[in-house]
Amino acid sequence: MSETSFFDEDEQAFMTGFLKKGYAIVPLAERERLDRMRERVYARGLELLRLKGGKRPSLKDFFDHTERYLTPDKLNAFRLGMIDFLNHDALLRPALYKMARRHIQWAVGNEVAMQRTINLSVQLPKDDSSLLPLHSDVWSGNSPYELVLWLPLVDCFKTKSMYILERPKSERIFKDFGKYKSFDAERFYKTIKPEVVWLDVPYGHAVLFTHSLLHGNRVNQEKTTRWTFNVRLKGLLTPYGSKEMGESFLPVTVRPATRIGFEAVALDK
Amino acid sequence: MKKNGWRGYVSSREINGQLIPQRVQNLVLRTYAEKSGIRYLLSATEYHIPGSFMMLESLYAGLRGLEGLLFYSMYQLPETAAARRELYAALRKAGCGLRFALEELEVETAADARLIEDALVCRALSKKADLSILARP
Repeated sequence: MSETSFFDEDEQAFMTGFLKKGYAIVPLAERERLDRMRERVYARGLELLRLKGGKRPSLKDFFDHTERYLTPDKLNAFRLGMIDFLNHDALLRPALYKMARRHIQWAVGNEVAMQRTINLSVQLPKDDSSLLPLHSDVWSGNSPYELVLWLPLVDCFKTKSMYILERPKSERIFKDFGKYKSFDAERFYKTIKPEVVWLDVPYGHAVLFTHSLLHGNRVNQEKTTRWTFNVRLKGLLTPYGSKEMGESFLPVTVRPATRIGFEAVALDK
Repeated sequence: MKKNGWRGYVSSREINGQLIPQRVQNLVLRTYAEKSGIRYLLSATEYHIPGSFMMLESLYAGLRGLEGLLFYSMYQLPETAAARRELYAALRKAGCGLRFALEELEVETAADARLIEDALVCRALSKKADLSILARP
């Protein structure tokens, strides 16, 4: 690496790769945080599903085979109950941030606004009730300056994972969008299917991706259940979209120079 | 003096660049109050005149009889930091709380107020993303 560069070699390599593809699969630091988080989710899941005594599955069985304890018609209520629980846990957002901090800082910066609500997706095998058709979040007014941290509690692969259309390919579609705008989501997916990448994300890793890329999921055709968190992050002072500061985002890492500036602005009035 | 619920506060002018029907603002307040288990009192409606906070200031006199003020949004706060400090001080003196229904945020402590101030300044300094390029044919 040249001495004239402001970036370290590994940082520059990460950034170059991210700019090229629009996403990166990154290892999480402090793995014990993730294990503890998974145990809390497991404990709450057992409570919500009233799995006690002899009915109580092991942690592995609970996550891998959630379909044995939860039917698709009860899935959304369960998921919302779990999201409510998670978002009352003051430890969760800082833990997610800290586990991926190095790569968040490389991709976003070190002054960050973070979405207030952590979302949880649970995809039972063969269940078509929680699908997210092919989309770009920017099409629904989200700021293109946001990244998504997508973090699995289980190994994710093939249709148990998410797919993405890498950056140059997504951008080619945006340029020619007139050609596709009358398509329904399924026909649109079939058109780009040969080019999408299914992300292989083992437990202990996460995906950071720009949600301007085309992405989505399909029916989970694997034998085990998918459990993933997702949360948006953006540079504190970058432009906001339909997810506003306050309602959706809050500052999480304000540095002294910026705070002094904020206070100078406030004192000026 | 007996505290008698949370006074709603809605606006008849744009809030953070959007004109929200008062009916919708009141609906958000009612839903928030029900969910939070607080008593919601009929809203005061701020005037349409830009920069006017006459209705908000008229609420100061009755604060002692209220548990707090329930704004539709944090973006209805006065535009200057000095006026906001005055509001926080008046509420603290009267033993009142301050909540924002849309954002589901509240100001109870100095740290809460700082977070709201950070968020407001941050939003004022950052632009709204220009997505008009997406409307290109």
